[in-house]
Amino acid sequence: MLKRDTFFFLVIASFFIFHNAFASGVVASQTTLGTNGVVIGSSFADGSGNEQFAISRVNFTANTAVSSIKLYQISRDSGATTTGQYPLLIYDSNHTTVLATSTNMLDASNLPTYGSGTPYDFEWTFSPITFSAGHTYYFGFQHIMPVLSGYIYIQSKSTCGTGNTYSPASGYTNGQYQWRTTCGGTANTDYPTTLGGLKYDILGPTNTITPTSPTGTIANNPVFFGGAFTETTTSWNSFVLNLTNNGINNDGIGGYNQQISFANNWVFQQTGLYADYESLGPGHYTYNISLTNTITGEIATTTGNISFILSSGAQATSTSATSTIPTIQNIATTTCTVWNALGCVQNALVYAFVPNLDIQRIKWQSLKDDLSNKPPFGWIGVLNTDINILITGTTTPAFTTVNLSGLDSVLFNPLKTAMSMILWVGLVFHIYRRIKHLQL
Amino acid sequence: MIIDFILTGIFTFVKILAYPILSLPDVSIASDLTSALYLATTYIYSFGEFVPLTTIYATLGVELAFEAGIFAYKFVMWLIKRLPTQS
Repeated sequence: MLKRDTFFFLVIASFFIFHNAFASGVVASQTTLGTNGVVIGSSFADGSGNEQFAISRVNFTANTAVSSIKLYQISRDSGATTTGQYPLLIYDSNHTTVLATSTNMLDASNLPTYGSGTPYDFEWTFSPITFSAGHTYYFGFQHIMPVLSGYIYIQSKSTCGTGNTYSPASGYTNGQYQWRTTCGGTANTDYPTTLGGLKYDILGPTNTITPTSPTGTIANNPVFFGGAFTETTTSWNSFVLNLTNNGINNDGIGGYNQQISFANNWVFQQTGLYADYESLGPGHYTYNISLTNTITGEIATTTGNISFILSSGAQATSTSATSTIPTIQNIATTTCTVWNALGCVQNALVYAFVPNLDIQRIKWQSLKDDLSNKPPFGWIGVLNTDINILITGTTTPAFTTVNLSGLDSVLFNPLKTAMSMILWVGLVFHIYRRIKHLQL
Repeated sequence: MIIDFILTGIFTFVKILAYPILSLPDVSIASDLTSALYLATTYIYSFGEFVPLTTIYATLGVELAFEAGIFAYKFVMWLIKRLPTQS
């Protein structure tokens, strides 16, 4: 039986094992440039009798949006004139279907001649396409491009295929890189899972946040802060909102700066960011947003600061509106006039003894929010957020088991019910024994 | 004004007490870890057909809360015993 200390160690260790599992920014890449030559890619039929060239294949462990692919150090054949426009294509795992064609094309006339110029880097862009987790995708070119009449070269490694060594074409030395259908006389299947020399980046879509000034009334709570993301998935769920309250009268009195995250009960939805008015309180505000895609690591930010005003009635107003917070609370039962000194006395008493709760609330709320972001309190919020992700983060399984339709109701659901009962009874029994032997 | 003044004084006092904590940097967690957890859930949910995940989470939560309660009790008792007036 595991000791309790060992159990907690394993829990904590497994928690951090995933920590370095993913790169950020670029969603996939190969970064090593080789120094020797290789034939890269392989041809395959596209289902219509046309030959295609794959130059790389990728496999993502999570659904990933892709908007561009960048290849590095591209050259052209020195023995022929390579011209034409080259789109990059993304193929499915069967090589038969072109899933996407780049919206821009490489102009081969821009390529330097291999060995005589600086190799060319080029980024092909796509309308965002989502690569499904667990599927293999290829990217490459159509064979109709004049590859065979004027090779294009990419820096790569020195071998191709298992045990094959490429003998360069006549006039070329090892170290020149060309796409061919064969490698060492046989079909080249040396795709980039073993092709360590090809350098490429696959990039996710570039998102921007369109910030807005909060509008509406308290009936429309919560307030909308900005959104509209290219990738409408729940992976956009880590954001930082830099909020500045410049005081009720825009004079800095009672103001604060804070970074807001999910720990502060703000809500992210696919269409934007929301918060309720009451969590903000009245005041003159400015804000900007930095939002992180937790899958791709992409960061979206607003440009500049957006300003708005919230009044004490919790109505959001335009940036030109003025605060309606009174400096003295209007709770006197009679009006102060020259002929009614009682109202003036009441006002004086209110001024002396009734605190401005709005100002106090802002100050204490600010302190509470600041503390909630600092250790050790902040770790509770962070852990709570991540545990919630673990429990409710997704409903899309990474893989699906065999089709169980028909068996659910007669087999698996009763089994799950029985397992649940066993777990609860076991827990009660365990806690009973624990209490029985407890030494306080 | 008077109550405001008193409350502001209390606020200032609390803020001075909290200054050592407020001067620390904000807690942040690497987005990689969050994404790793998100990925982990996709694998866990794959077994949802066979395993009562909700019950597992609930029982695990009860057990952890129970153990945390015992730990908190022992910690408080340990602190109390350190008070000079306690033997």
